[in-house]
Amino acid sequence: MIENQKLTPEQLYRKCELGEIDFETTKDLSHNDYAFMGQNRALTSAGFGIKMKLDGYNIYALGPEEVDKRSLLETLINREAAELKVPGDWVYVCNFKEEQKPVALKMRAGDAVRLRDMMNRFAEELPNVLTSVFESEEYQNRRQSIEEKLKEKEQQDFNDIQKKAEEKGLSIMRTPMGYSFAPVKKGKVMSMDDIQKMSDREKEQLEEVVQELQKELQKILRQIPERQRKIRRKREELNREFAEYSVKGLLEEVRREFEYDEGVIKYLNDAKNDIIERVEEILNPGGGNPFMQAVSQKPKQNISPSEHPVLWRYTVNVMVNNSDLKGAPMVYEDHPIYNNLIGRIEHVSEMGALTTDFTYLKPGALHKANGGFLILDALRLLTQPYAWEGLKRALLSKKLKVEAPGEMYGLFSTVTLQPAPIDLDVKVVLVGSRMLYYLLCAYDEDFKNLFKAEVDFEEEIDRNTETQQMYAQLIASLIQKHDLNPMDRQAVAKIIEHTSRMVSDNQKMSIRTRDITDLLKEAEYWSREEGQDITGVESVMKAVEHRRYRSGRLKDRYRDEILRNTIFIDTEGTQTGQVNGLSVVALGNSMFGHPTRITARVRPGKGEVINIEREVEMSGPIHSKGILILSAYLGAQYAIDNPLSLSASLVFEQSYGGVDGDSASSTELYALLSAIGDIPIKQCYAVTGSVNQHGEIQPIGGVNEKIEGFFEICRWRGLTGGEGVIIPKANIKNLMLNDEILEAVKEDKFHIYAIETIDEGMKLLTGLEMGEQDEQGNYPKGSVNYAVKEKLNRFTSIQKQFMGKDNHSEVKKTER
Amino acid sequence: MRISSIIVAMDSVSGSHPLVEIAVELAHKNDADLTAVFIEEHDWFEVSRFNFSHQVSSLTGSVSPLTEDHIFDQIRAHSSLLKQMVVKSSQKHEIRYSYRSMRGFVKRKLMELSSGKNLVIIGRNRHPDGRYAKVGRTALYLAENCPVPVLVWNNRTSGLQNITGLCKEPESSVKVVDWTLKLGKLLDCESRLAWPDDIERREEFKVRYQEIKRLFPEKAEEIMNISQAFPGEKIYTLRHQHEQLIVVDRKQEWGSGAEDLLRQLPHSILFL
Repeated sequence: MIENQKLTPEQLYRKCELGEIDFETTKDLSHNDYAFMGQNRALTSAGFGIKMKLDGYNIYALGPEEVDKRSLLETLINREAAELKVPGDWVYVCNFKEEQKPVALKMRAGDAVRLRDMMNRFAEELPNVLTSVFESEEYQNRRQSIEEKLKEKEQQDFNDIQKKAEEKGLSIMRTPMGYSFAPVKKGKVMSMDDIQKMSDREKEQLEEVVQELQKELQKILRQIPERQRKIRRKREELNREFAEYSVKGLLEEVRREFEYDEGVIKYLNDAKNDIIERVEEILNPGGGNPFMQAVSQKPKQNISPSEHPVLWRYTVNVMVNNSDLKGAPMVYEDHPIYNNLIGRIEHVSEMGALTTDFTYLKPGALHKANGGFLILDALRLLTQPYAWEGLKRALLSKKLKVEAPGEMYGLFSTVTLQPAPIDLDVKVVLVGSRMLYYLLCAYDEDFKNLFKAEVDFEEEIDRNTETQQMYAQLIASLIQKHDLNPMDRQAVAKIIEHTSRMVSDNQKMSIRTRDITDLLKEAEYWSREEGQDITGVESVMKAVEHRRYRSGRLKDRYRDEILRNTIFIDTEGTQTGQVNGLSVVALGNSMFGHPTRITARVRPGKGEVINIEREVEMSGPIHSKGILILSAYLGAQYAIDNPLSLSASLVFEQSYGGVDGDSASSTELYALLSAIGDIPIKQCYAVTGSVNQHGEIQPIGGVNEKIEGFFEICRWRGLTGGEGVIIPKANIKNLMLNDEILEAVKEDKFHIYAIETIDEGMKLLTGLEMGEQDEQGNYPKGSVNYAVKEKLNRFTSIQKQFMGKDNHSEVKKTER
Repeated sequence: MRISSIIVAMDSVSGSHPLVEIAVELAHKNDADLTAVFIEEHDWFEVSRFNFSHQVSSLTGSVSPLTEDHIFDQIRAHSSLLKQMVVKSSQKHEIRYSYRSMRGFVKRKLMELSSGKNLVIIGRNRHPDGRYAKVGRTALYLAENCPVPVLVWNNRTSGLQNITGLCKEPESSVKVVDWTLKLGKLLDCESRLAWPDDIERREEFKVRYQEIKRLFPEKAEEIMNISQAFPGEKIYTLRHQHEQLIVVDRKQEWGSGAEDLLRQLPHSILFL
């Protein structure tokens, strides 16, 4: 029977047979489309998600990090995007009526840059054209004519009063603040002596005349502001006429280019009207405001329009330029902070104040991806403040509005821009983990409405001849993609075998392409180190081995402590109530197994099995569940007609961290049975497997690491030929053990047993049969069950004796 | 050409600012002394003694008595502002300067003060108004009569870009050529010389070039390079080329003299 349970070397490792596929190296293999191997579900789902045009069918690609989901999706999206039409460009231009609310214009692809360049040229030429028109003789003459015509009356009035003054012997004289009338004699102002020589009557007359003329002068001077206003109005009308003439010609070229675009034509009309209103400012920036003149001075000759105090209004801010695209855009934003997604409003400091205008609007990834696809890393997106909320808001409203996050939450009170929102038509592809997907589904209502296309990537595929051949081609395509040296046939087979080990299943292969790629790169590194142009099987094995070595420090420490007897593990002899269990430690890149001593002690009691780990809160729920299951097994097996008068304790010796999982529940049961029946257990074996209430052994995880962990201890101590590991039969398919074990098994120095029941395990560990009940319910002498049952009966008797004494004492106490 | 002392005549505060700027710049670049003067018109004080004298504000039209005290207060305030402007600008450029405020007849005083100076600077008008600036009587008088070069500065000019010397024949234009070239270098402007007939005509060109070569042996090439021709009667087409300074010799005949030039050309003009 034992021989039936002992596994052959062939059962411990599944070699890769590449069958009829004919190749020497990966160079000979085709490498098209194998990137999607095993991803049929993801492929179909992605195809649906990408092509589905209705709202809410954005994509969430879920699966392990090591499956290169993004790269696979990019390939699919690229194919689809190439078939779609190139979306239009977007620009922001000045809203001449409300500068704080820039206008968004959608244009044909490629038009944005053209409009920007044309408007820049226009703005550069504008001052020169205006200058030449406004300095033309015609303009100057008409302006002069206006001024002279309107001033004529003023001059006439002045002349009249001057004449009148002269007739009366007076002259108008300028004083520091205005005018005064002075009596003159022979062309000179009269002296005081001259005045004193005048008679009183003459003086009175002179005073009367002066007063009269002063009043007239006052009247004339008070009319001046009104006349000046008239001149200004007339001058403005003239300016408008000439400005319109000059701007019209300049803008005509732009208008002709974009006559099909209503938005642009309307913008050009608005720009023309604005220029007409601002001619003076364009020609003389800061004019009329001495403070502004002092700070800005006159712009330099070759100043660019964007730096000009007025001409920036006629520039164009290109937010999206799709001129170079051949289809719809596909954008991957690797830093999805709010500003990088939604866009931002930049500010500049001017004399201590922050100012901005439409030229400081900067596009985000959503702008660039509008009309196409945007790929984002879900975790990065969710960990950036405001980014997820911003993205959802844009997708729900189908509008893209650039605003500062602070403004969105009403944190800033300074005036900033309110750019017109842009219509948004984008398919967002989130790439993330399964956990994140399920959390979002559970806690974010919007998520379910917005990301209806679930693309679930597989991480393993079935392993058979056909898929192995396909896998070889996948390896070839990865080698080509990453420009690696070709790999020979044996090396490819070794990689395939390793992928089974990666998933701990000899009937499956891992398709975590990122891990595979890393292994290919590392193998190539070692082959190059050896000066080889073709990566061979030795390099692959070295890469695998070196990986283990790099992350093996902890494993080696553990091993050393066992070998130095700091951690007690027996690998020979027998012990009662003590079994070698197997644990797995997974930390970072390292995953390894090691033996753990599990012991049990028993005494009479009320049927409880104490899990010491649990008592000190070092036991996880699954481990505790396993203990309860084995308690149930004990009860059902041995306490049908008697109470289970047992108190047992179980412990993982020298365990200073927590314990979880039920893979040691069978081991614990063996220890318990050994302790109850006082049956010695062989210490040359280590055991793993969980047990159910019927005593059946169930599969566990990490079987390869566990076997290798125990083997290593035995090997270091020296194999005697008796050592081995007992595993669940259901785990045979998971075996992909290393070469050293295969060799030892071949040489009959180490053994792997696969069992299905506790009975088989006990027989292997003790050399005793479990024993079947006869018709009277008795077990055969010399069997495990017999010893256990006997001990339990003794415990029951002891328990009864104690119970009887206690009851008797109580009666006596009452009688007294 | 040697500028070691400059006098600038000031009047209104706003109108005098550009004058002070150019005067300080020239003084700085020539290491010259600058004298800024404000003449308190003698007649103001004379009139203020009459008990019937009033002043009508040019801005509001309001009438206020014009007494000696009023005049004195107004002049003191005005002079203080002018002085501040001169001091600030001079100190900024670290030039030697003096500010003087004196009472008298303006033209006579300025003629007296210009004696021994190398350059007089005066604004076209108390309040420049438009490109066809009016010309003040004092500026006109000095342009015609002052024995030293007079720069009548267009108060609106900012950012001088070129200097044009108006020449007749080379022999009679030596001063103009000399000042034009030197001012161009000094003020970092483009210099050019305008000859009133067709320099392109081969024979005339040859004759003129030989003469220039004789008069300016080292600069003949440069002078010819910056020379341009224009028909004599169309000298006033220059009016459309703004931001420039025109250099003329009063002894040469240009229309009906300085008054004609000033009335037709709205630029700053240097009368030699």
